[in-house]
Amino acid sequence: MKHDLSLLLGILIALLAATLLWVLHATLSLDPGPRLADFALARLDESGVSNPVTAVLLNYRAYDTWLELAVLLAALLGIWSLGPAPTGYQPSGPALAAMVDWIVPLAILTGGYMLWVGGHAPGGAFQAGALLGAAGVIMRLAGEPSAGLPGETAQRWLVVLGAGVFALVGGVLLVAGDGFLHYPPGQAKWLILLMESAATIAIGVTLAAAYVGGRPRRDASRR
Amino acid sequence: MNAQFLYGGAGILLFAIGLWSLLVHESLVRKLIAINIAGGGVFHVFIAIAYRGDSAPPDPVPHALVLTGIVVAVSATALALALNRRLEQLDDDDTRDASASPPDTQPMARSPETSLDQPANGHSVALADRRPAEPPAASCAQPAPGLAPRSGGRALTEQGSPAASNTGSDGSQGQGAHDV
Amino acid sequence: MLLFLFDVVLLTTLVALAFAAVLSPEPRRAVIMFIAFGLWLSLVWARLRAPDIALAEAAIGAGLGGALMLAAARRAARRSEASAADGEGSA
Repeated sequence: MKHDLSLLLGILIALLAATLLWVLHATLSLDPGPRLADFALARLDESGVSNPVTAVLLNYRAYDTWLELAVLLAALLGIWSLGPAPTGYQPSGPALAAMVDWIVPLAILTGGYMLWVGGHAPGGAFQAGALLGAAGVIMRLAGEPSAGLPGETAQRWLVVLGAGVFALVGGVLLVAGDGFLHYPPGQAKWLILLMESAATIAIGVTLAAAYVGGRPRRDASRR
Repeated sequence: MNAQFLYGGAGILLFAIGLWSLLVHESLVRKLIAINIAGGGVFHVFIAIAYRGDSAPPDPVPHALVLTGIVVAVSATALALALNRRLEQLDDDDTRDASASPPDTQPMARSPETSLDQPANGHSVALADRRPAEPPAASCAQPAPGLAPRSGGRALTEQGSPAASNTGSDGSQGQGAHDV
Repeated sequence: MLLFLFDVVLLTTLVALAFAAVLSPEPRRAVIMFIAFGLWLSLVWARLRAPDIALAEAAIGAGLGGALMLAAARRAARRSEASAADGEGSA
């Protein structure tokens, strides 16, 4: 009975996939209208960075990136509301400890490099934040239960930093400039760098805290 | 055009595989793998459409959409796994209480401020009569004022001693109603 | 022609890894196949001239997502072993 049901579902989904394939073929054979890519690539020089993906993420669609950081924050709040963090793994043996000694500083350094190079080459805030989060995950796997993160108050400030700096810059530009997140022409590069740095730290801390998986346990001394 | 259709077709195939697995499998980890594979298929369709061949630069707008999508998918997966762990903990407490002790017959000592000031919890208003605030009356006075200002129920914050916070009540009834 | 063959091999491996992740009998193996699928997807995206996305998928999608699910799969495997042992013990 269960096997028959899964077979029936398989056939129905295969039909759905065939329909979607036909739709894709029909869409691709149509004549495309004006594409957004042309607009995006045409004014790339004024956007402050020369990597088109970074320009789209942090200049043309900075509002969407701000909301994405808010989604990360919301997911972390959901995880934190469910209970304290599970206890970590046992302290690592010497081989894993030696590897962690090498890899974690390299990951942090590479994250910083990714943040800077995202302006003109593949990279950017999300990749750099992912490397920082990976450093935290490695530390937790090697036996450090807090994944290298600071205490709970500091973590709260750091995870709010991403969406907060975006909102702050947008608010200042709303009051004193052209509008919410409309960068003034000469200063786009520095504003983007500022917002990317804040986003990197926030993403790294959020991903590592999501891997820890619960509220940070208080120490006995910090009651 | 040919490469776009080939890669887009593979993306649709991945979406179909993920959708089938989501509907067929029962355990949450398999469903999460299925959702992530389906999501990967959707992202793949985006990237296939953005590909312009080796001569022209690719379209950056779908790339930005996919980057946002990857991060959102991983954070949703992390939240789903945390919820799953919490559900498993509650199931374990249920089975342990159901097999451990018979229900108590003495009246429960209830400190009113902890069980009645969570009206935001939709289910806790009806349960306020049956759910005892703290299990043994002796330890009632001390943690209750500390827990009262927090929202979201009492048992969620102190998990260090799950056995202590669940015994002493008519456990299976209170815990069974706690499962939303 | 050769590039087309390369594309076909890439995509066949991708779909085969997805099938392996979905059809494998135990959850731990499924998660490991999922990590491999994520890394292979990142490779395919690098071929499609999307290096930013390839980096992000390898780090976040495959790496972090796989690490998150590995702990849950280990717990799921342990629970199913425990329940199987209980079933045999009480039978």
